[in-house]
Amino acid sequence: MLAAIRQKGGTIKRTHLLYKANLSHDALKRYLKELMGAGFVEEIEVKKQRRYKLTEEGFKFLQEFQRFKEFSETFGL
Amino acid sequence: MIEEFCPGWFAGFDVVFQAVTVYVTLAVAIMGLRIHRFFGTERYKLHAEGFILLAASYTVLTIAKFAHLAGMLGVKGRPPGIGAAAILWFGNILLGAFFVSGLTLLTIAYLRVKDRVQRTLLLVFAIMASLIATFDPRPWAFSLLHTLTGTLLIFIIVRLLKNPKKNRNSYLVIIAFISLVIGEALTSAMHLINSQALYVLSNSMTLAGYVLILVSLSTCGRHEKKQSRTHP
Repeated sequence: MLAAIRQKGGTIKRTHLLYKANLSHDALKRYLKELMGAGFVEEIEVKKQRRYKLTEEGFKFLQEFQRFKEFSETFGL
Repeated sequence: MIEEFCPGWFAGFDVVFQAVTVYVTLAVAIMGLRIHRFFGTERYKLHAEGFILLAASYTVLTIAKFAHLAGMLGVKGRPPGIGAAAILWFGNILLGAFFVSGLTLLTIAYLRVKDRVQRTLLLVFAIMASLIATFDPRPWAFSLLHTLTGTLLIFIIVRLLKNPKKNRNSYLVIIAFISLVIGEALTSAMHLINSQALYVLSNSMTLAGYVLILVSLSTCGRHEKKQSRTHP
């Protein structure tokens, strides 16, 4: 989900996120709550539309995750 | 191990080589521990612990070689005094035990041995082998120990080659481990034929291996940094 938001430039509409993350509405709601609770995503309003924005912390988390994933692949772990 | 195989012109270079090796092994270990904290997978912890033990063995080697170079362990060309000989003997035991157990932990991580009893058995066998090699004064004992470590490295290489998610960096790591195997084979031969040229070659191959590991480690996540420029 974080990667999907970043791919869209850091902000995404709820429907786009639903489509990109390939999740059910309930699952999306649950994961978004978790991500917002962790401070990785925040809800903002743009032209009276709800959007989800990747926070600086979320961005750093995603970057760290990708780096660890790459290390794991590099060292065959 | 910590014997005088080093040719005069190479003295000092080998200490620097070992210091670089300590840095690389510690860097890999720190990364592994961070990943273990992040994902909580035991495999990463074992991998990190293996590299910590390798770093410990190279630290012992660096200190011993530096002390020898600085004349702290007796005058060059003369047999060391009892105190210095005891330090060298203890250093040899630590070096062998740390090195072999570190490589065994790495092999356990790569072979995905999950059973704790099997892991303990492998470690006990490896440490016993290193102790026997250290206490046996005949040159073939050390040679056999390096053959054992080389074999462990070959097992790791086979696992790395079977890795389905290979990228450019993983090929660098495979080449690095092949360099380390060649280094071990040369060290093994060095103990048998008492050759100074093989000492230089084995040290160079080992350094090349660790430098390649450092290169692959430092380029990990570089792709991500490029992507980060698109973030608002």
